[in-house]
Amino acid sequence: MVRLSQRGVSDIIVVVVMFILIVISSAVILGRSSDTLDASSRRKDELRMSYLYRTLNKSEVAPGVSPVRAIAEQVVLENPSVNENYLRHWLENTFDFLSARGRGTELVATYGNENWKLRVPESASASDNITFRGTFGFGESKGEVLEVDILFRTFELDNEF
Amino acid sequence: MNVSRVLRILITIIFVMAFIGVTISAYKREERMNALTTLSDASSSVAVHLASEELVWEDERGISHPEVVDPSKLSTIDGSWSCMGENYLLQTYLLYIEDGRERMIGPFGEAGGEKMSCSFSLPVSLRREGGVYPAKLRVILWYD
Repeated sequence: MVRLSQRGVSDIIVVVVMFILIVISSAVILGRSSDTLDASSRRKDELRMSYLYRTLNKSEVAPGVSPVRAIAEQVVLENPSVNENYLRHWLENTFDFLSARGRGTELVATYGNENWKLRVPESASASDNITFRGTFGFGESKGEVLEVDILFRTFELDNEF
Repeated sequence: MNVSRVLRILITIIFVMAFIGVTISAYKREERMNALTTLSDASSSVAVHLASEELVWEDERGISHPEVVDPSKLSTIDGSWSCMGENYLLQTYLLYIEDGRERMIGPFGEAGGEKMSCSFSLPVSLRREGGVYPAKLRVILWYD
């Protein structure tokens, strides 16, 4: 019977096994270290999204009219206080300014079957979404409240944007 | 037989050294990543604290409006910050759009030089000349 050590086969097997082990362990050790930083970046994007909503709730697109109110009016009222084209242009500039680099923003306002949408940049595809939901209520004289759901979504842009 | 044994020992030593090298490099990388993550989380904490407490605009009746920034308070920000046993230096400024151009108030606080830094921009509202405008509160943080 042939002894492995005499042919050097065992040496080669040991070397190969050690080589495979070092490659696998290096990949595992070096590969996992950016997870915490990625999680922190995501937390920041979520925080930014929540503050984007608050900013649009507290700033003014026209004297005394918040952007969130103006968006809700587009869905509910026949004659909203802010012209739709002006509002779209204003929101496009604001999203472009406030969004993080490399991310786009989309909003969808919904009341019943009616909805109003805006995506910046318009032709971007949405992936890796972070969403934030808000509600704007209109009080009516009969004591009823019309609630418009407003969904904000931020997404990662492809390299072409 | 002797040559084979010497070769085997040499290769084993090379692999062990390589493994130790990879482990040390991974440890240093992990340490740097942890430091960056802490800095990153601290930058968002500072920005939220400033936007919700230190810089808030107060109306004529003395009512505070969180997330609405009073630009006159920016110059009162302390250029240092302590959180979870770590000390940081910070620089702050406010960006807003006026007449279609991006404008800046600040910066306030000293720059940290070549040290590891992290910046974070938080959307806020800016109270200015009777109106409330969208703005970005940018915080840059360094380890002290």
